[in-house]
Amino acid sequence: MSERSPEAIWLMVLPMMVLFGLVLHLPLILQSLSLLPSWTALQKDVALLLIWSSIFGVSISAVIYLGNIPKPIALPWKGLQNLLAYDFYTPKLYKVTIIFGVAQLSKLADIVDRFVVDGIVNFVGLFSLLGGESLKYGNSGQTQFYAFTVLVGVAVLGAWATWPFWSVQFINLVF
Amino acid sequence: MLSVLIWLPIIGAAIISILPDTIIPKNRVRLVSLTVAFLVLLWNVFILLKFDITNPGMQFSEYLPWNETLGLAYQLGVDGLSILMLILNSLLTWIAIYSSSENTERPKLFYSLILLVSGGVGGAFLAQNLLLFFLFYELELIPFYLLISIWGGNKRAYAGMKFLIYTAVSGALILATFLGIVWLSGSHSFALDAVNTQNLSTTMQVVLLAGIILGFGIKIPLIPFHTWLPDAYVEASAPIAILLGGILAKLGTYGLLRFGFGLFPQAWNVVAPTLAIWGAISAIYGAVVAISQKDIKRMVAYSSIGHMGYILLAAASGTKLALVGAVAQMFSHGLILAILFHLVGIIETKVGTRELDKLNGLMSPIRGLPIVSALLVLGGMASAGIPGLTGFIAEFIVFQGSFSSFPIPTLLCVASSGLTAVYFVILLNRTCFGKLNNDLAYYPKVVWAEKIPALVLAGLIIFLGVQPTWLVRWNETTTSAMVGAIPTAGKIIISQVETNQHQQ
Repeated sequence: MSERSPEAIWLMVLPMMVLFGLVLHLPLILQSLSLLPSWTALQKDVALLLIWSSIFGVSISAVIYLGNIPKPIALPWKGLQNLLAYDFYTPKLYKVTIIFGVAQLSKLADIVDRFVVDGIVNFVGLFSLLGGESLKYGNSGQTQFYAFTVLVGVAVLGAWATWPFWSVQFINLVF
Repeated sequence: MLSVLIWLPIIGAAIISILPDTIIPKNRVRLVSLTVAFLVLLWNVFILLKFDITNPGMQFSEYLPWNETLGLAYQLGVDGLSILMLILNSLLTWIAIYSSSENTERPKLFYSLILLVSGGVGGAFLAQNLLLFFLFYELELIPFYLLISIWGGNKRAYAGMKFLIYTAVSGALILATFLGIVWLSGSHSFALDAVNTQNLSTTMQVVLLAGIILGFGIKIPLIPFHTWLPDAYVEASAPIAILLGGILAKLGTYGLLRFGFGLFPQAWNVVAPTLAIWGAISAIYGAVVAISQKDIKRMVAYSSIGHMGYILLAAASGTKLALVGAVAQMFSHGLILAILFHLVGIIETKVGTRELDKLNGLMSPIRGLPIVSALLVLGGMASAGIPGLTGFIAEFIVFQGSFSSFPIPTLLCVASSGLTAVYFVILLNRTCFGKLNNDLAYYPKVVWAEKIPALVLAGLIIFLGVQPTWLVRWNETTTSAMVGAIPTAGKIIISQVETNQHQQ
């Protein structure tokens, strides 16, 4: 059985190849459109720095990848190697601070929503139901009790509604 | 002209429910109701095309005296604020009927209730008389209670009763406030253009406005009156959830804008800071609680609470741009919520579960639900406010318009928009991506009839995101006129940002 190297999907490879060709031809295109600046605009120091950094990078990678350095590459300090290998621990930092914070906040908000806000509503409903259950045993069928309850209720309501008119004398009378 | 939008659905409901099985057999009821809803939608589009966008007042007015002693008259009219809501109503009714399953039990009752609701909501958006609005507002209570309680999920009785009690209290508060407005200001009828609150004392105006805010705040809903929403949306079936979230919640914000902002221009400045902070808190609360949900339908329900907070912030700011943004957000949120609930309903029907821990890998093209998942990704992106879709347009206009009046609440709402992305990424990551469970992944095929509503809504969402003129051109004149009625002395505006707006 032949082993093929994994291939990327053509939807990725085709645009990449087209762009690859475009990028390689870009200096020629710019030159033919006269868009490149003249040689006098070149800053020699910056150009020299760029060329030397490219040579530096190519030579280091040549030493690492073409030389006999044992792979995987081991830095002298384990801590430094771990820091670089785990991406400065950034995902872990995020997980411990922001993600943990938002998740806890949202769980707290959910508990408040379910038990406090909804709890008040359900408590009122439960209270009404239980109150009805206990009140239903108060039925006696005798009209005089119902008439008396109505009279007491109307009296209490009337007293409450007219409170501003007799409050002063009442308080003076009692206290 | 406008009465057709109310009475055609109601007549359709009567036809469906009264005619016997020999004329409309049970398996044709859905088709008949689809036809009626589509005719209403076509008529609505016709009215939209004849709508004059340069006229800030009421158009196509109709007037029939009904009960002069009560002050009740059959007075209809449409302006920039309500025309988009009417289109949303007709469109979402059609989408909801299309989204309903073909073997719904008791189809005659189901579809006649849906059409009745559609006619009632249309009447509420069209009413120009306070009592007529209240009549149509209360007309939806019983049909929705029945729709939730009969065709809902496991806790449907609890959810339906909770919804009924909450919205009945809201209706009672609104009626009390309307009566207070008319009697205290000395108007002789309940007609909207005859009511003038300017000769009331500021305290009385603020008290009445508080009644309006509390009453409509239960409907919008605002924290802490929101607890009916998660239960009602989760227990209702997908078409009912589309109607609940897409249309009924918009009645609350429409009422706030029309009767709060429109009738109390002086008192609005007094309550505006409170409303702005309330809207920001509501947005953040909805987003934060949605992050910890394990049921995808409940997550979408809490996202609805969050998005309504933006509308309240925009309404509180009172600038022209913010009001345009409020109406735009009402429409775009209706579309986005409809597509999300429809797709979540399909997922629940095909996969059998709604729990985030059990759903996985639905994007797989071989045994998963690829098109449904792709549209769910689109819906999630639209809700989070990704540019190119209509959610971004609405949110951006809201934030741009509110920043000059209330910068801190606006920044809080922007943060809440970021949190929306958090829970939608959680939803999409767990549901669509990942690995399908090999043993359980034998899902029934998704037929075209289930894909078409989602594709229609997705097309609208993309179109309005790319061409937002078609979202905002209808209401600019009316909202400018509404903002112009507000006295500028009490408004808090950062002058620099306001100058920037004038230069645009």
